[in-house]
Amino acid sequence: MNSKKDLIICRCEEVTEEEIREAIRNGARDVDAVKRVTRAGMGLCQQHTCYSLVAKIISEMTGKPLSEIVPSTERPPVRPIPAKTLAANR
Amino acid sequence: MKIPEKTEVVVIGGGAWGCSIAYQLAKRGKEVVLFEMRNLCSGASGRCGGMMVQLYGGDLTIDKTKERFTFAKYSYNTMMELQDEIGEFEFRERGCLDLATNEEEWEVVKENVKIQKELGDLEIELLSRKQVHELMPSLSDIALGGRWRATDGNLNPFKYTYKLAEGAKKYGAQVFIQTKANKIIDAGEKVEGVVTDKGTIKAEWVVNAANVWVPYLTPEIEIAPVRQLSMATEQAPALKVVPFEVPAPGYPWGTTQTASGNIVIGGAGPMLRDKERFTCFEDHFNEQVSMEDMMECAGYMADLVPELASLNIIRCWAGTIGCTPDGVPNIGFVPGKKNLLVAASSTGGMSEIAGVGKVIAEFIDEGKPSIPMDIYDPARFKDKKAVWPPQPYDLGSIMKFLLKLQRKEKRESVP
Repeated sequence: MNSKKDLIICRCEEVTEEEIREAIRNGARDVDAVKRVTRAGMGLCQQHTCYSLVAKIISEMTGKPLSEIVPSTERPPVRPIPAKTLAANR
Repeated sequence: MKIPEKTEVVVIGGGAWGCSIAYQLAKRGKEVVLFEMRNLCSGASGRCGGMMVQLYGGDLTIDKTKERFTFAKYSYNTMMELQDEIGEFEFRERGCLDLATNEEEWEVVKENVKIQKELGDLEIELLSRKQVHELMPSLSDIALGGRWRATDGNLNPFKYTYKLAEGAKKYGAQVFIQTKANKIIDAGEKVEGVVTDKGTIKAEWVVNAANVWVPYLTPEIEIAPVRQLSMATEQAPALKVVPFEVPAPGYPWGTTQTASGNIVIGGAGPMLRDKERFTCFEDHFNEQVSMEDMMECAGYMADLVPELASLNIIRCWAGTIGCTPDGVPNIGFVPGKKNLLVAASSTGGMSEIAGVGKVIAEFIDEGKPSIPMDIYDPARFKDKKAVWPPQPYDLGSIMKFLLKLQRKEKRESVP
């Protein structure tokens, strides 16, 4: 993966590859840790797009195989859902 | 990175408090090693709403409030300094509205404002029903009035914690994540060090800042775990006023808007409205979220601010916060120990982080803090021990206990 500084990795939160690399250089070792520092994955799609990209960058930089990188926590709802829809079913 | 053989201070817990303590100590030139069992900011610090509310809570009495007020201001001033020292962490002074939804709460709010004013707290304002609606027109008609402080606000807990940790590292502190402290080596009046899953370290001082996990390492300190549930919406344009606290039946729920625009709704404790439906009674360490949890949380927002009900919910999460029998955190020496300190069980959101770091650093560096911290002394429960329900907590006992905590000492010392 050739580094392009302005390449957007997380589209929802507009986080660039360089920001993610910076977080990993500062000690982030899994996708959740990167998320907490950079907001990558905190947006509307909740990491559906950037999860594997972030995991690959971590793997590349730390030398850990992808299988050993701790997956991030999946939280409900799987897709965005209006609050009133949930509230109506109380 | 290998764990060093010895150091001056070991801090256990990489939450906002732990990182703040590590930062202030490292800044004073102490050799600091911090252990975090998961990632930085992954306990209560990272699962809260990020509200910065000074003097939070309904249980204010003259004796308690005076010291809490001094500490809150000390902490606030330190936080302002920190913004220059470690960089910006999205603190926005948007004010906080504490609403009363029934007569009883309204009386409490009025009384609290009176007490706070008597103590020289000039910022706190009492708002009538009309004033509340002028301030926040989108709020549904539930409030009888409220308490308003313009210098409260919200911040980004992740940024805050990470910047504190980065700052600590710049001053030479070593931060070990995914390293669990298993035992504090006890030698009578003193402790000698910490055993972790990656090796043993000798230390002159140990600070236990593991929040709800404190009692596992330091059984002298008792902290009740309380599950907290939160939910975030998609990003919305900045609303005029959002942060507010409403005591829902039994427990306070809060709403705030982050700098990015997400609205975060959340609250602690078992929901008393329909106790049959909620699983959170059974396990306060349960970080999973059920469908019922989400519906409850969304319903809360829809009831309070109907305009926001069309927003999409993107994430719902749960975590554990720590509570003490009187709602005041434990900050200070562990009873009977000369070099073991504890700093845990914050219920004041983000407001106490900056102050805690400084106070603990003063304890270690100067022997005592520069402001009175007696009401935070962990030894205050020594003679009047709270009777905690036996672990593992079951549904009935924890509910009874938590209700008792709330009622305890209520208004007792108000003249």
